Order: sequence, then C-alpha cells, then structure tokens
Amino acid sequence: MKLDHPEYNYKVVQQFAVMTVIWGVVGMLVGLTIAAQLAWPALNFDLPWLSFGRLRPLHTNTVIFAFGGCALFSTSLYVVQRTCHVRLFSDKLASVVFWGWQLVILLGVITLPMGFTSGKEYAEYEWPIDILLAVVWVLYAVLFFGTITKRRTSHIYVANWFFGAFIITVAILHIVNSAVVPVTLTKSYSVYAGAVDAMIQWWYGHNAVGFFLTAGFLGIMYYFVPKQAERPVYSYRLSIVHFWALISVYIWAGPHHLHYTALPDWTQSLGMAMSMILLAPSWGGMINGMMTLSGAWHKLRTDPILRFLVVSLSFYGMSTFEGPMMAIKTVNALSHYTDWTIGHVHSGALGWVAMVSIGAVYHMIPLVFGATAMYSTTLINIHFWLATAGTVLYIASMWVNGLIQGLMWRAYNTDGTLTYSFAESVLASHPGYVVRFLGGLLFLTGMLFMTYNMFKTIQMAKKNTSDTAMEPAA
Amino acid sequence: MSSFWSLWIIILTTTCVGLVSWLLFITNRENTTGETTGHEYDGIEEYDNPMPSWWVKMFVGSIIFAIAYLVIYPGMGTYKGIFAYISSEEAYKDGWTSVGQWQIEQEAGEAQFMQQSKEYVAVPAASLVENHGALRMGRRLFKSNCSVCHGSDGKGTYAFPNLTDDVWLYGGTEENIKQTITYGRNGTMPSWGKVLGTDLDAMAVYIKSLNSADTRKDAENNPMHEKFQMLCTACHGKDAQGSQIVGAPSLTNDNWLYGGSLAEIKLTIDQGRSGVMPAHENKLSKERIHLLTAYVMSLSHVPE
Repeated sequence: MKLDHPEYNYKVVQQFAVMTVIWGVVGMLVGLTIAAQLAWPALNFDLPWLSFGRLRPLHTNTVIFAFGGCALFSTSLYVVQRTCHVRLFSDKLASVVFWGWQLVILLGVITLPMGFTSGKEYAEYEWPIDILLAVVWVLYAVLFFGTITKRRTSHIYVANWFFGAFIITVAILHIVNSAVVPVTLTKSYSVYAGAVDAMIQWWYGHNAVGFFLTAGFLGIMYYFVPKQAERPVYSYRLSIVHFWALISVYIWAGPHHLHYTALPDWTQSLGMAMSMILLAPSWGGMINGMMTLSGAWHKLRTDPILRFLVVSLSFYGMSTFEGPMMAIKTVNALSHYTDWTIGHVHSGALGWVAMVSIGAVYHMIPLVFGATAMYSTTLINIHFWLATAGTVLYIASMWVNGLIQGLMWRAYNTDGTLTYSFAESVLASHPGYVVRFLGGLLFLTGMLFMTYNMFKTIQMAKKNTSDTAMEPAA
Repeated sequence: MSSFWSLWIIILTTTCVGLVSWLLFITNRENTTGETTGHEYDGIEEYDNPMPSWWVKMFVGSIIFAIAYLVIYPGMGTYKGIFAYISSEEAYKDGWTSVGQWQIEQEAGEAQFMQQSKEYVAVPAASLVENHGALRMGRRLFKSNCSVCHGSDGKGTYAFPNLTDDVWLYGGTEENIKQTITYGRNGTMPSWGKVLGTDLDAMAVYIKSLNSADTRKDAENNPMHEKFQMLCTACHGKDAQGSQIVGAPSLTNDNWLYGGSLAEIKLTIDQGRSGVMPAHENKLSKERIHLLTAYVMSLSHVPE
C-alpha cells in the first residue's frame, strides 16, 4: 500500500510510536510491582534496587518521560508535519532527538534503581542526565519550531500552540528546577534551600502536570479527535480563550501542593485562588473535544479508537474538576498526603494521558507504517474495556482509601487524643491496595494486547509494501 | 517581604487575572458566524461557534471567587486580608494565618484534654493502673506516640524492649518510667571485639552459659570467667545481674533485647550496641507523660 503523504518524515514518528508502547509496558510493569509491594511488602525481597523507594521514581519517570514523552514526541512530530503541510526541517536532528531521548531514559532506568537520585519528585535524574535531557529538549524545540517556520499554511493549527507551549515551558521548568551544585558525578545538591526549594520543586511538579501532561496531550487531542471523528473543531474562539487562559493561569497553581506547610500563607492562598480560576480554562479543552463529536456520536458504536479519545476527555474533565477542588484548603486538609492524591494523579495519568495517547497511537500506527488499518479492531476493543475497567478500579479504590486515611488521621476523641494510630489506617488501606493492584493489572494487560496488535500491524504493513514492490508497474 | 516584592506580586497577579478576563470578555462579545473559519489543516476545519454560555459563567464565577478570596485572605504580597474583621478569634487579629488556625484547633483539643485528664493527674500514676478512663487515654497516647517502636501491644520487637514483662533496663517504678519517657535513654554497649580477639567465641559461649542456673554453677571454672570479671562487671555487675543505673541488662535470665542466639550474643560483644529511647520532654506535656506512665505500668501489672 502506498504511504499517505510519503513526503513527510515518518521514520521518527514510527520510532517514537513503537517506543511509546514499549516504554508504556515497562513503566506500568514497574508501577504494578510497586502497587503489589504496597499490598504485600514482602515483595521488596530485601533487595535495595527492588525496594519501593527506588522503584517508585523509576515508575514515575518511565511513565511520564518515557511513555508520555515518546507519545508526545511521536504525535507532535507527526501533527506538526501534517498540519503545517511540510516535512520536518531536518531528518538528522529528528534522529538525534530520538536516540538522545532513548539514552536519557535508559540512563534513568539504570541509575534510579542503583539509588542515584537528586531527591526531587518527578525530577530524580542526577545532574549529568539532567544536562543531557536539557540538550535533547532544546534540539527538539529547534526541530519543532524550525518546522513551524517552514509551514505552508497561513495560520498555525491549535494543536501546535499547545505543543509549542509545552515545549517552551518544560524547558524552563526543567532547567530552573534542576539547578544544582554537583559534588561528584552521581551526587549533587539543589541550589535552593528550605521553603524556596519546596516551592521551586512544586512549581516544577505542578507545571510538569500542567504543561507536559496537560498542554502537550491537549495538543494530541486537538489533532486526533477531529481527525478520527472527521468533524471540524467545535469552536475556534474557545480554543483561543482556553489556550491563553490555561497557559497563563496554570503556572501560578503550584503552591496548592504545599498547603499548611512552611510555605508563607500568602503564597498558599494565591496558589489556591489561581487554582480555582484554572477550572474553566482546563474544561475548555474537554468541551471543545466533546462538542467536536456532535454529529459523529454514532461512530462510537463501531470505532474503539474514538472511544479511547472520548473516554480520555471524560477522565480529563473529571480530574481537572477534582484538581481545583483538592486545591481548596478545606478539602486539601482532608485529602493531602492520602491515597486520594494518588487516585487523582492516576485519573489523569491513566484515564486522560494514557488513553488519549493510546487512541492517537492506534490512529497513527497504520498510517505511518503504511497499513490499511490496525491488525485487529477486536483487540483494540478488548484493550479499551481493560483500560477503562482498570482505571475505574484504580481511582475508586484510591478515593476510598484516601477518604478512610484522611478521616482516620484527623479523628480525635473528646479527650483531645487521636482516635487511631497510623498503623491502623495502613491496615484499613490494605483492601484498597489489593483492588488498585487489580486495576493496574487490567491496565497493563491491555497494553500487552496493544503491543501484540502493533507488531502484527507493522508486520502486515511490511508484507504489503513488499507485495506492492513486486507488482509490475502499471 | 519588601514593599517592592509585595508590589511585584500584586501587579503580576492583577495583570494576569485582568488579561484573562479581558480576553474572555472581548472574545465572548463578538458575534459568531457558526460557519467554519476558512482555515484547513490536514483536512481539519474549525467552526466559529460561541463559547458555551454556562462555561463563560463558570469562568466569570471562578474569577469573582478568586478576587473575593484574595480580598478576605492574605495573598496579595504583604496585604493581610480582611479576615480579622470577619472573625472574632484572638488568633486572627492580624488576619487569617495557618498558624492561627492551628493554634485555635490545638487550644480546643488541649482544653478538652486538660478537662478530661484533671482527675487523673491529681493522683499518682501507680494508682491508675486499673482505672479504665485513665488507661483509655493512656492507650490512645501510646498508640500515637510509642507503638511505632514498642508495638501496638507494647510487646516490643528486636532492639525495642517489651513493656509487658517485669524486666526493666532502667527500672519499672513510676519515677523510673517517667524519667525514661521524659528525658529518653541512651543504652550503649561498647564494642569488645578488638579487646577479646580470639577469645570472642569463648566469651559468647560463657555469656550464654550464665542464662540458666544449671549451667551457671560451673561459671567460675570457665576460662572466660576472669576476663568477664575484668571487662564486663563495671556495668553488668560482679554476678552478671546487670545495673538499672546504667541500663545494663542482667545476663542471668533468658530475656534478650538483641536476640539470645550465640551468633547474636557474639555480634553484641564484638561490635557493641546502641539503643536510643528518644526524649519526649518537648513533645508531650507532663499530663500526657503521666497518663502514659500509668498505661505502661498497667501493661506489666495486668490485674487478674
């Protein structure tokens, strides 16, 4: 079969798309392992490199930067070519970005279990890896914006606004938060201290969510939803307002991660107020995606890829409602430090980020490899149900656990003593940990179906190409 | 915070919220066509549809909420907010603070505690070991403060003493226990590996032989007896009965903090041990320590 738009650079898209699925399986397998360790601590096996403390950063970094990162690279480099109607401006640079990013991830996968960490959440890579990451990221920015400048369209499509904001902001976040004084090759100290360090860390952490996991994936949504639904985007002016509002308000909301801490009160209040304003801009993306489907809802009956995309938008809407609610101090006083936070994160991570990426990858794979469609639609459908059921089990169990923990920790008796010891809340959380493990297991199983389906599709595409090559010229 | 930075925060915040509101307002005001915009990217078009009005209202509502919040609470640099005029609480006289909120909750809890514990604090802890009300409070304090090391049943574990038996490293009287909780203890067994050299194994066997009366009677004939008298008696006593003054355990029973196997005994002698009971002087009030003492005493004075 002839490739759709052979003039584009699909090689880098193929590479990143395949690695999205592979890193997804790896990252979620590590996640499943640590979920199991929380339910059955003996699974730490008393081995330092297999202990929860080392595997947890490995899980977060692998799913965010390896799985999510590869999904963003492959889709953004695909979308930028298709919506600017032009090939990437440098194939060499594209190749350097791909291999550079794989090297960053690989170094992380090796060093984190060895115990080398800068101790900053979602930014645990030590300084040599941080520098490499920054370099690769800047090259990616050059590649992306270089292609935008070469575009053959008069305007820049909305998906590219979001990708652009994501690329610029993540560079700033990463470089500022990772500023350290190196001591040895594997050890460094943050240049910030005390409450300032905490604030910088959560400015980074919150906006890693805001720009990496939200803006970037909204970029994915803005291309793949209208494309898969074959409908125009619902409202251009909604795109404009929610884009600018989202990127200008998100950056303020970090302090809500530090409610009732040593952070000054004014910072906490300001962070909370801005978090409230953030609700509408976040929902703008969901509305625009959902309304794009008007006139195309019937396609959900037959198209599991569209189902992935639509369900991802529902989870996006749920978690971006939940986020501002949890940013309210009164709610936060209950939810903070409990599993509710973990549930909230995964409602976004599994329900939104993973589902929208999965939908996009299913859409892209046949197109960039030159197959007519995915090898099996039934398998996509099975994957969809496994992923949805897994996500629901995961977040429901963590909601229950979070409420149990929050209520048990704050309960005190008429004599002013605490009603429960910490260990009692751990015991009460155990059933939730088992259910969460099952949810994760379902989600990972779905990813294994996807891996199989993907390799079968690629195999099919290769066979097609060689068949076409053997046909006599018409 | 200097007034420059305060102003900086106020200007940045109002500019950001102002620009967002302005963008929302002007975009919402213009009439929409309901047609596509005329742009087309890879087959994707965009409608010029209005923003849903419920969404615009929600957006405006959240902005109003945020402004009201920042008027009432601190947030705009050094501006303290008007909460002081809303609340009559003394802790909020300079506006709302998280420390103030903590103080109010803390004081309310403390008042309840003082009220409930009044009658128990007036009598010696030793007289409370069968008083259900006092023990209930003591048990709750124990679970929050002590159970991490001593276990929720108080039976301890490796390196953490069992509190339910009648073996006491530093004594089990009311005064001893209060002293232990208030000021903490540092139980140090020095390392004797280098001093003993090749005698280490023999010494471990000798120590184990002191455990029971049966094997102890031959102790004086053991070649290690003399060395024990020379090195160990300063703390553990001439007859190995231990000393509660220094917290040295008796070696004449089968009660072991770090395990009683030959290997563990050898490790203890060879490398020494360092056990720490943290001081609670600055963490728990006298009244709480009193109730805890009663509870700890009740663990080993179990009534019939």
